[in-house]
Amino acid sequence: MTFIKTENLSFKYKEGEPEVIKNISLEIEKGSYTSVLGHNGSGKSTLAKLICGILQPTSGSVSVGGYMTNSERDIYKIRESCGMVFQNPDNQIVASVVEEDVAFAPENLGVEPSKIRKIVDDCLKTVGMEEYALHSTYKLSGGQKQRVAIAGVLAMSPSCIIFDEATAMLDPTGRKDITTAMKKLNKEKGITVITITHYMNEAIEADRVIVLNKGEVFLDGTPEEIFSQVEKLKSVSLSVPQVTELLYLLDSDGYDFPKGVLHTMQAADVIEKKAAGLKKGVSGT
Amino acid sequence: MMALRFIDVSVIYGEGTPFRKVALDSISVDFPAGQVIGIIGHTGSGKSTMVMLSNGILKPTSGKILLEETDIWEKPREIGRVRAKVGIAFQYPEYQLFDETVYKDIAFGPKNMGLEESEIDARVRTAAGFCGLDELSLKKSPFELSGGQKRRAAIAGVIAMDPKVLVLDEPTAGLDPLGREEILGGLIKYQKEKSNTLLLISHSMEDIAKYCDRILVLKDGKVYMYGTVGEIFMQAEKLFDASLDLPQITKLFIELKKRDLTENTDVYTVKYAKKEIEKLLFLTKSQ
Repeated sequence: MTFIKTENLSFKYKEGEPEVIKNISLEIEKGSYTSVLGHNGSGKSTLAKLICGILQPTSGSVSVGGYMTNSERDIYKIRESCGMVFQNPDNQIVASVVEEDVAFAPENLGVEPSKIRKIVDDCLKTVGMEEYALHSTYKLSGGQKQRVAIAGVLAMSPSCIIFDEATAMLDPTGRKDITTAMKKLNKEKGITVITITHYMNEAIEADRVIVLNKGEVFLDGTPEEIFSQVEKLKSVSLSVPQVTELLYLLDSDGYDFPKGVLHTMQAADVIEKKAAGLKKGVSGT
Repeated sequence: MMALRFIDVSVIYGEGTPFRKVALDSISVDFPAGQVIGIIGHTGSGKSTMVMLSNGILKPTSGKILLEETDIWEKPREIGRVRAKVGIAFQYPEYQLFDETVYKDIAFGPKNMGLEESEIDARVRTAAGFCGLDELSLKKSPFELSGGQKRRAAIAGVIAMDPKVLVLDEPTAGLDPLGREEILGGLIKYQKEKSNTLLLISHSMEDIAKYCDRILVLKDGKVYMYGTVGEIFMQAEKLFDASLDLPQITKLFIELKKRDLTENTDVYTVKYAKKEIEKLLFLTKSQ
């Protein structure tokens, strides 16, 4: 079932300026896990804001769960169902105590206090910040703040969460924690996840990868399909995971390796197979 | 020669309050002049505290910091001189841009050092060059620039002060791969030309492997590991224990070693990896 649909969506920030989003028509399935890639200025964040209804289309339309973002009556429904996590958690944290920050959304949605307690505890646990419930938010490190921000969004129990480079400020473990949380939310709770990222290792976890360039959809497919097109990605300032690049380079030198190998283990497998094949070939002659 | 030395340095935040936290626990570490040193560590390991100590924004609770063998806190009134010698670009330095034009913004540091107009001009242009900013963008308002260009402008502002030690706290966070390569490439070129000391804090093990001579690993406010890139990345288990990662390509070679396909796990870049795999395939063939 389609959850998010954009039709001939275009957007510019000011009259007379070039379009940042050009005629994009996309459908995103309910419960899917999509990763959006693109170099700085390709329109990724603008697209995310258009989907959440923070920005309004210049032309075309966006619908989320059947509601139109340009309808004033429906916009609150969209904001309840579609949460967003930004790059810099300082832009998103509103309270001075961790648990109060997480409670902010349910309080404003009029949830019963006893239920709020449970929601807050659950959400902090999901992001591994339960020990910090009573700490002040401004004393946390960047990664910890980001996890609190995610808990704050989770507390609204949205059906879709958009992560706008939410891991850019985190260390590798923090990044892994957040990626794991994304996967968990998607697989276990059926939340539709859209993640905007520059980390290829994060994008390969998604079911679908959309590459934007100059406000248009440049590539759209499974991670394997997308990352097998090394040259095309490089042409729009993007890179591929190191093992993908390694096998691509060897392949173009005539070693004949499969394209679109993304994971370390996969790569080890194909190299092992290759070596075994060569041995066999030699002993056979 | 050592550019910067930390001797038995401790920093305790919130002493005497329930929030007392030991950010750095008596660390001693030497940064040799003319090298690129990567600093890695889990969030909260003390990296940013070290950055703030390096030019006296923060005073250590105990211990000494030596800049070119002189205690930076010997004459607290003259700490300003230290700040001209140790330049820091913080995380998201673009939030600090403030002047009317990019040119003026970059010139702010050298101007406050009391340099001559012609020297300031030369420094602004050199710094802009290393950071990949063209003539046209120097005339623009910093707020007209794209995110990546803003970042370059802010870093150029620090370079223009021509610091002996340049400290960069995640200079490429949030940039796309090409932007990352351009900024780091420019900085390394600058470092090589001036043979300054560069301290690079990064969460990208791939970038650290590619650009650094030595790596300092912090854990819970202590020096956990310190050595050349090879020495550090060889100890995979120990890095995982500090919840750090290895470059993906190194992980591949560790896996290949487990499968008896290679002996070498000192592989940190794709270029070198390719050579190694070619050798491996060639050897298997000729066996």
